Amino acid sequence: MYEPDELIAAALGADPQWQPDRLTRARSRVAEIEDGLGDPWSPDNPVGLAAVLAADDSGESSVIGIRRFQNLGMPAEMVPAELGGKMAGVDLLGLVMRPFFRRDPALAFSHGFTPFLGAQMVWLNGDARQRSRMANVVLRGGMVGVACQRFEHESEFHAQEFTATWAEDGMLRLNGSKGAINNAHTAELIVGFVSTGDGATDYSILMFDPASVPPSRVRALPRHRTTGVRGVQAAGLEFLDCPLPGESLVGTWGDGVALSLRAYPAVHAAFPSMAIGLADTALRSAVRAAQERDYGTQGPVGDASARSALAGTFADLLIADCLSLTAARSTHLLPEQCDVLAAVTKYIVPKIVGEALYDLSAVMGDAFHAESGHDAVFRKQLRDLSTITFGHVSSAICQSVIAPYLPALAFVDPDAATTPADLFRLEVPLPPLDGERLSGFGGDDRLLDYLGHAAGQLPLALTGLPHADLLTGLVAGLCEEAAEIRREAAELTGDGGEDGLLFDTRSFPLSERYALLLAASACVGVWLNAGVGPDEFLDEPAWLVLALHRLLRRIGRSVPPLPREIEALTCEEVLARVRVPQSLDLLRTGLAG
Amino acid sequence: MTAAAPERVFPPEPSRVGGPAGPWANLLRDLEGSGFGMVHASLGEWRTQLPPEDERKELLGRDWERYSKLAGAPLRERFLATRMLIRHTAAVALGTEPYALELRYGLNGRVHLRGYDQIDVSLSHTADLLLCGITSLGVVGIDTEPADRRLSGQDVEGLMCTEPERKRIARAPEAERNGQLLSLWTLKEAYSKALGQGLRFPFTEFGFRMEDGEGDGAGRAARLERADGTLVEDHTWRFATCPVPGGHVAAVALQDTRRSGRPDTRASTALNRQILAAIRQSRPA
Repeated sequence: MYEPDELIAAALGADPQWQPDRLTRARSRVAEIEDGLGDPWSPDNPVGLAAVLAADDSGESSVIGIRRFQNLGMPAEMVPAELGGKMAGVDLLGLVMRPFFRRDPALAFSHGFTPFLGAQMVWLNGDARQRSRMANVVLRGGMVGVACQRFEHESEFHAQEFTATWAEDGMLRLNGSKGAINNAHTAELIVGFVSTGDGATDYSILMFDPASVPPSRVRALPRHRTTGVRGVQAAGLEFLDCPLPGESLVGTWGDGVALSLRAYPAVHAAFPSMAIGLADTALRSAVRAAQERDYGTQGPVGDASARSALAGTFADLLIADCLSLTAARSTHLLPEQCDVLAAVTKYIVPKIVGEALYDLSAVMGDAFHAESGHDAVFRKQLRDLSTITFGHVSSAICQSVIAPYLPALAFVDPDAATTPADLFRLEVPLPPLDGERLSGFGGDDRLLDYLGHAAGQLPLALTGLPHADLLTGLVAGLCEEAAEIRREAAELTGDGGEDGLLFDTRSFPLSERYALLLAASACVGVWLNAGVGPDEFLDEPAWLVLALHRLLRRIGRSVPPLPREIEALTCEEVLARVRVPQSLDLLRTGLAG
Repeated sequence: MTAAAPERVFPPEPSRVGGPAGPWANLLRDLEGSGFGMVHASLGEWRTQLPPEDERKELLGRDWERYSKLAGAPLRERFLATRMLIRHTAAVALGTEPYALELRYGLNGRVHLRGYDQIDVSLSHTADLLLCGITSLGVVGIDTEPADRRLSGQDVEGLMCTEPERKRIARAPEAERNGQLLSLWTLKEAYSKALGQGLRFPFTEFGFRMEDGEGDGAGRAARLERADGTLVEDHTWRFATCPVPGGHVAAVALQDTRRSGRPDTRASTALNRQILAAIRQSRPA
């Protein structure tokens, strides 16, 4: 439950008329959820990491965890206010889900992310009755299953698809078999992408209650075991000429792909933000393993390469947070233009975070292969991340959104509006998501241009701060890369095929470098605008220097050597936040352990 | 129920490629059949087929800077030959032009194909041998050494072996010790490369145990173990050593996380046609 604002104000010794700002509310809400879940490292905590590891080993979900998810009011966090929930922005949703992703990614994926994914499709595209029906199911903690369409570059969840046709009786007929649908056997509502015609682009979105169909026309297929998040209850379903009422159709018949594209931005932005919680635990467990090996618990970390890896990973989590914060806010503030930025976020954050976590394997040493005890948490988080990010198929979906936009980068509009500073500032409230405006697919978030504006603001912002020259140089390098990307975009030969869908293969590497640049731009924007309010560590440029340095290295540009104190300061911050404990992200929330 | 796919030999025998022209058919067959393939090449042979100096800058792209910093023709030519081998190997899987690809390097130097995460490559070279592995299943690391490289008796055991590994080597007949050490060394290199760690992951912190018998084909399977010899039960990983023609041994570490029956790796099918069409329709011409 939310604390009433006046109680928070009183607790802070403030004027009772004073309203806490959005930042304060976010921090206190996350702290409240943390308190409700307790110390994850305590072996006796029924929703702690030891219990979650045991559940994962036996392939089960944590029943107590699910109850806690509901008692802490998590379902309402996903539901927009106009439908009876408390969701006040995609940026906040990512933050409040982190305590669950820190502890139990399987539960958070099945009860948080999957219902949000299915529900977004309905809330942005469905009629009033459908929207309300979905909201009611989510609000009372009912399960939602999502049956994805098949992609040529398939994954386990994208390998088969259902088909639907209209019958003469005015009802739909559903056919086909699909082996992996998350929550398939427990879902009160299934959101399905179904092939609905002869044309290759004809898809529709259906929403239906699997319990309401004639039992003879549906067959439950066996459970599908995933490599990570082993507690996830994925399974198959087969429909045999199964009648469904016409009102199962969400949005226009045959428009399923375009309708799903409206929902992707919020999903693409929210998921990486949620997953920062998962990575927080992995980084924390690497710190613990290094400390225990070197000096016993809570001590310093002696090995220089370990300190460098811990600092670098933290910088990468901050990059992920800056980018997902910016993308999440863009879904509300720039709905017509946010699609590419959100796809960039979903594309690049799993790569950045995945690489950083693999770097920690060397810090873990022998503990990397532990299969029990708290050291085993590290590799479980890696395994879970690999499964829930959907790997290559998700990259391919994101690249499909990014690639068509790349040729437009060659043209710079001198009269274009500048990037709004509110994009980077969590304290500023957001308007609700607007499905109609989200169908613009404009892609022009202006973050690439923002680097040039930021370079102009830096000299003033860096007055009296250390590493000013280094930071200015790094931003100049990013601006050079932006110019290079524009040059390469001008050389792309698009629309070569008969159907205009054959893409220049140079789009693939270009889309990745573009993604890294937008990540850098988001970091600079958050720093210049104090995106999460005053913070003694974030206000200093050390983390930004490290973040941009790592992004430029990933881009493949040469960088100056990094002064030793940059990583030293960042590593000290990691150790301090593990000791206190506070979250290893932008918001620095107090944690339960 | 579909019939289980027949068990394939792991690792498949590396096929020889005489130059950029191939032959590449065996690699494509292995990749399509099992999601993993290897090619080996002779540096001397590829060196005679390198593009002329004035074309290299454009062909190397972002690798030009690395190339131009290398001192002397032998180092430069080896660098160029290995980059060509990676590009041509990847181009087979992706169905693209080798020079439309871009290589990128992880923060610890691991090579990737930028923008194409449907495949993973790993390269190893020693003396005249170039060996390149590629997979569509997840991540791969390979390593190769001359079979006659002396490790035994150099106190290498203490630097690279876990206690249980040292004991097993001490129990082996003298004549077999060097071969066992080479297997362990290449396996550790391969696994560490697959994780993107190069030599950062201390080799005394994990070990390998060779499976009994010769295993599939000419290869020999191995299992990962912790520093104390406990087996690591992670069935997504496969490890094996195998001979490479020309008197070399190689090791492969392969992780399957894709879990798809027939992974399609082609660049031409990576972008989803429905999404492209929907975006195209929504935007003004």
